[in-house]
Amino acid sequence: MSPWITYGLPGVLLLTTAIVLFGQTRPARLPAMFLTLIGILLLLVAVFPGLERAVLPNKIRLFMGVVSLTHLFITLEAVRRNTLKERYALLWIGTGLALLVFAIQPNVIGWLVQVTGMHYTSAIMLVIFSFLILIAFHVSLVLSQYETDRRKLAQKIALLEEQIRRLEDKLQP
Amino acid sequence: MSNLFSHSVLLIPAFNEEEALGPLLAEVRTHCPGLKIVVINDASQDATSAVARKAGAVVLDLPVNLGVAGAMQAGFRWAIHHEYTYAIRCDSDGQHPPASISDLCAHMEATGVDLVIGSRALSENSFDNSFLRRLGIGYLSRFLSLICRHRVTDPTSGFQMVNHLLMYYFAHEYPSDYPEPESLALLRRQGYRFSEVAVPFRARQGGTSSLHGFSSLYFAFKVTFALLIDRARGVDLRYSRKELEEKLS
Repeated sequence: MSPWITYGLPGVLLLTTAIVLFGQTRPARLPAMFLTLIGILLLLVAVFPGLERAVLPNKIRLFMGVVSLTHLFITLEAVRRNTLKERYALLWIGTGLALLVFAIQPNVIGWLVQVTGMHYTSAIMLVIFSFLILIAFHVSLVLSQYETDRRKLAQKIALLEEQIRRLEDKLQP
Repeated sequence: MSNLFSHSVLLIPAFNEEEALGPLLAEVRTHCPGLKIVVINDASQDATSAVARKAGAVVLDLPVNLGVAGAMQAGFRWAIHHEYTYAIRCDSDGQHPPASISDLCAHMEATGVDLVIGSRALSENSFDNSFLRRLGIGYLSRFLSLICRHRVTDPTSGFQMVNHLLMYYFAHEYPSDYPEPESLALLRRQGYRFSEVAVPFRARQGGTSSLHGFSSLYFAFKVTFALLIDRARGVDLRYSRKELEEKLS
């Protein structure tokens, strides 16, 4: 397939999105800059097909790097905007950092590859999967705690309401 | 008898029971004069709350639906706050005959146990229905009897009377998934005593049982699992019978 389709098209799409983000009434500058960067990289590969051949053996690492950076960026941005609490972000940031380390230093995951006989990609999927299970479990724990809290609050409200009603009845016979 | 009534409160958890609740409350009034009635309205969408208030009952309106266990716990809290000695639980669908409340009281007075359970299995005219249901309940009662080392004939009966110790305990900790069978196992471990008394249950006035056909077998399985996990928990010393007896005396 022509490199213009595989790299050029997504690159142009990303750049267009970036321009739209810049053009908003409240421009999202950071995401737009991030998209611009990746878009330009993709276009460069489309213009110079030699670049693709140069990074071919490390393509998956490059991909993981971009994914982990995006992931970290989104998580940190959510924390900064107070839409995500720090203590729930920790496991997500851990996931992102682990992916980044595997992208930069594939040897780190080497022992897992050696022990299980998996490929690099499968090993990374295994790590991501483990993190996701941890996060899901964490959410279940938090949810259970919230349910307990919710029960206590509902009961307290019912009791207080009854008390108020009784006091009101006493005041106006 | 009547002196027990004056120290007792009748807790009725109700969810969308505007039709059955009125007649039930009237019946309670005739059979148990002087008994305080508290209806816990579990976020019903119908006029349950208004019906109960019109009948002169104290009404606790839960803002969100908590299920029977959460509703009962609210009732126990109310009872503790108002310093009642006994709490009786009765379902709002008319299955539990108010005429038998005095039987529970008499049994409580005679035996001095912490929990009295009205058992439909012990009574003559138990009209128990499907085969699968009997199988599930029969198995559960055997399993519970084994765990408790005490005969249990009706593990899912919600027709109960507790003394002030258990009221305090349940107000703080109450098994939320399967309150009836789970609390029995819990109680034995914590050093409480319970006893069953025969009560002729009636057909429910409205609604359907959550236990019929294969779902009663599934229920038996879920409860077994919960009970096995419960076995792995230690004694909660904060709420052991001895501890509470000292604390509340």
